[in-house]
Amino acid sequence: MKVDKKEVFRYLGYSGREADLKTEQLADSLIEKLPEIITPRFVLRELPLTVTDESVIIDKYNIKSANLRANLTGCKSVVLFAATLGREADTLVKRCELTSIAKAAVAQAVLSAATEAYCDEINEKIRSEKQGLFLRPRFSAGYGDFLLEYQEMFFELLDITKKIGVTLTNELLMVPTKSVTALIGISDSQRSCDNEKCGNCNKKECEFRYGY
Amino acid sequence: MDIREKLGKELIFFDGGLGTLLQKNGLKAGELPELMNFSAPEVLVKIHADYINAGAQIITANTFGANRYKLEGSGVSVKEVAQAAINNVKKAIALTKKQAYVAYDIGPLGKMLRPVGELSFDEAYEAYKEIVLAAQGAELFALETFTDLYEVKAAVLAVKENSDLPLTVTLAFDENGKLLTGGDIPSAVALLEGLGVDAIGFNCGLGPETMLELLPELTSCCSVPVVINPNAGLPVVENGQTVFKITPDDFAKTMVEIVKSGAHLVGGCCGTTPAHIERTVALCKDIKLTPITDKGLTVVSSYTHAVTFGDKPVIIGERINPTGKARFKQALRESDFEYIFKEGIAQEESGAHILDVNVGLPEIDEPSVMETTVTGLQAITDLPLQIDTTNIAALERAMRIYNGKPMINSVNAKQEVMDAVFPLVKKYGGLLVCLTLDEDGIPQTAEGRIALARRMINEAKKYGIEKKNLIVDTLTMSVSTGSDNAKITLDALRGVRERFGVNTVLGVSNISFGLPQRERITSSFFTLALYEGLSAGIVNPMSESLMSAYYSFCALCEKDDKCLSYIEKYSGAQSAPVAQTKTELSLYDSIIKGMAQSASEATKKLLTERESLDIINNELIPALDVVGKGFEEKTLFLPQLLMSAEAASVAFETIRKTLEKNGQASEKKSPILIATVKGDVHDIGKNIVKVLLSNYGFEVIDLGKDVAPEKIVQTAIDKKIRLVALSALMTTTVVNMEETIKQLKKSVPGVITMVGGAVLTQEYADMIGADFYSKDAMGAVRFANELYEKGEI
Repeated sequence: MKVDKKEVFRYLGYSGREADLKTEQLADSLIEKLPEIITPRFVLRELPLTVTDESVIIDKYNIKSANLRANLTGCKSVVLFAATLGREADTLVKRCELTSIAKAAVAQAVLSAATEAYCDEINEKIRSEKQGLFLRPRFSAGYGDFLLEYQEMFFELLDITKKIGVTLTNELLMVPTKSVTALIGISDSQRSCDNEKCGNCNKKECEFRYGY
Repeated sequence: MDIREKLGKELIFFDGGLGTLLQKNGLKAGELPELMNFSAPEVLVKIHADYINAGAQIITANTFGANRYKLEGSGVSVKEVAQAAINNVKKAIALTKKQAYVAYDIGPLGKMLRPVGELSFDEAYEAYKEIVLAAQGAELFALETFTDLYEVKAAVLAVKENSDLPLTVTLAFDENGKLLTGGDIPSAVALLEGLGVDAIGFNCGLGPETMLELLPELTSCCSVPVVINPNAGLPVVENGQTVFKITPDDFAKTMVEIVKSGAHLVGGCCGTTPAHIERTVALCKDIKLTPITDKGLTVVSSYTHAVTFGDKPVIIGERINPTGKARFKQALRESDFEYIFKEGIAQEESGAHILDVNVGLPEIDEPSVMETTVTGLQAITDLPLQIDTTNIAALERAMRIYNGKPMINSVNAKQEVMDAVFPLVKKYGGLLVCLTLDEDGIPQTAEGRIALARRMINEAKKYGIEKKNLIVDTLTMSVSTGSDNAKITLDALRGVRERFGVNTVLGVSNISFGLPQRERITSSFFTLALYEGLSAGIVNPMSESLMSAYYSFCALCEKDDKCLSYIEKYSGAQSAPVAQTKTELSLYDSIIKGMAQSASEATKKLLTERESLDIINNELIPALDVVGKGFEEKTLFLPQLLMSAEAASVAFETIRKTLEKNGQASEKKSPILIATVKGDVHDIGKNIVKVLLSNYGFEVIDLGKDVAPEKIVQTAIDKKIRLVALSALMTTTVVNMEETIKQLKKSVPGVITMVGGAVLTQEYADMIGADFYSKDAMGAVRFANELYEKGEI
């Protein structure tokens, strides 16, 4: 996977400003070692989809979410996926915290960027298998009014714990922490207004927001 | 007939897939398959009967997911499922009028254990104990599809402690022979053989071809019967349905190869049907079984890998030990576990293969400290551990919660010690260090020590502990107190190795006790001992001369192919120190630039000229303020802020050491309690705030992550805390933050709360009743400083 260094610095709060040499070197050395450390895994599944006037229906789940509905309108099917960098990612941050908190912060950002890069890879894999069709931006539980409680849907429909070793805590957090679940609508028509990043989020003052 | 009498002597057939057949019979995705024991018993009886008629001898009850967590809210108990499921198998056996064993199927709980997840080892054990006690009427336990060695350890212990039935354990490896939690095949075998399971193998995840490819890795290290239960190939999605494509005939043909390659029990998993089993029985039943042989491996393991003794010498790091180390003792007394964990990382980075863990100090609760140390170390390093204690309660606790097969330091030939230690090794598994001393002390002759080794080997045999799980220490005594001390140790070492064929270990550094420049003698003795066949040295891996003795020995004595390890270690190193040209930075500049090394040097220099308080107030703090301001004005960023914080920490530590040397105590500001709230496992933000608060001289009491409100309240009361800092990342855990604040306000009048974390805003913080919200780490420091200056904390 190709980790985008700009993303790493965005997570570290640089907001588009140039990184200092020491931080850049720290990020470079972590990115270089990453393949030896992490064990990325993913699982995906395509399911038929019904979008009604008020909800989105996937399998037995009737999801009332205006944001998700807006995302998926015009789609006939949806690909659910889950991806993780594995427990080694969490261990790496823990180890760094003991020796250098600065390194730990950079490692945390590198791993977050790596998780995104891995999801992009999965996205591309799906795209290449859907020649002639169009993919909507990926959407996760917790975005807008698509409740975090739907994490349970992902876990059930994808059998995530057994397939890639990620579990869901009572508070709906995923462990290992460098893990993502998302769904991608598949449509036979393209929309021009699909805002790939941050567009659906209401937290306009967020310092990590794109388009600074 | 007990199935144990047949294991490994005749080929035994497991049944095949159940879940996939239940789906064909109406089970919907997401429904609990175990409920069909009640809703459609006739379907289960039919499937079980079909498998019996196909020739399966072990029939697994439909209980894979029947645990307290998965059954929550289903309206049925573990006990009810167990009885219904076992009844269905028994009915099928009665119906077919054939012989079959009722296996009680146990799978993972679906929760991750600590330190990665939230479930404690003891909670996992209790959940499995409930299952085992419910399984009345079963004839064996089949533990299946495990992907976490720690969880399988909890399950095996629950079976062994609550039942006399045999148990088979099969794990779901990926095509590279790795578990989802990172474990490899040798580490799984080491753990499971140590725990005394009856058969070990693979199930699920892979088709028969891939399992056949992985089989040699299993048979080369496994000394108990081998089980192979593959899927009918890899799942393929067709029209929204998951299907498995390998036909019964193709499946059975590969199973023939699997049996010929060393499997003793075979069957199927997902996608296999009675037809697959019938064909497999037909093709395999007359194949001559591979006899079970003891591989004789001396091995310890962690949750990822095993370390084998006897070929290349093993380095055991000795640094986690308070003996003679004032700073280490202080860390133990103050529960400063970070200090201990850092010692672990440093030794790993210096080349240790195993870490010795000794936390023995008379005034501490050793079992509890040992548990925290072992679990904490296993969260940050995957090296196997050597549990080093004479406290039997601490030893048992550590062996129980250790994730892997541990090394144990130690037993000796005193009857009382052998009586206490051998039963634990038999129960939990482990490689046991045998010290050649007894009630009369340490024999002064090699023969005397060899005789004690023999006594321990014989006594271990009575417990069924084999020689391969013993490693003899012929004891290093200082050569300054007896000129033949080295010779006695080495003669005894050679003697036990040649006569008993056991592996050997020595604590090497004792040899130079009382002599100047100890490393010279120690390294030479280490080389001599290695040449006599020493299997492992308990040494300081940070000692350059010891490690160079080790790498040189390996290169010289055919333990380092093409000298690759030696070259890797030393090719980049300078053969002699080169004069360094560098400009000296002031302390102020070192901190601003985030240079820890030069901050330390500058501080040392300043301490010869100025008072420590002067240095802190006029150099350190102003520098930190400049950096903090830069961070707030976005002229510099988080990593730089933290590098400066690290440089400042180093400077503070240098000052503290000097003060202590002069008998003065360093002054600390009021204590601040910090914690990540219950349910939340994301704590890097909290850890950053902690570092910065410490920099500004506050004593920070860190309770860690996932901390219950009650514990925070109690600590605040006990330590008379005025300011509590809480972090939470998710909306789902902010409720716990609110609860914590509520309880604090109620039980600790006047306490001030400050909160932070990704999901929080000022508005949100107000809503949950927090006194202060900080959007970043510097804001937290500013707030604490303000309170301090106003005298409110």
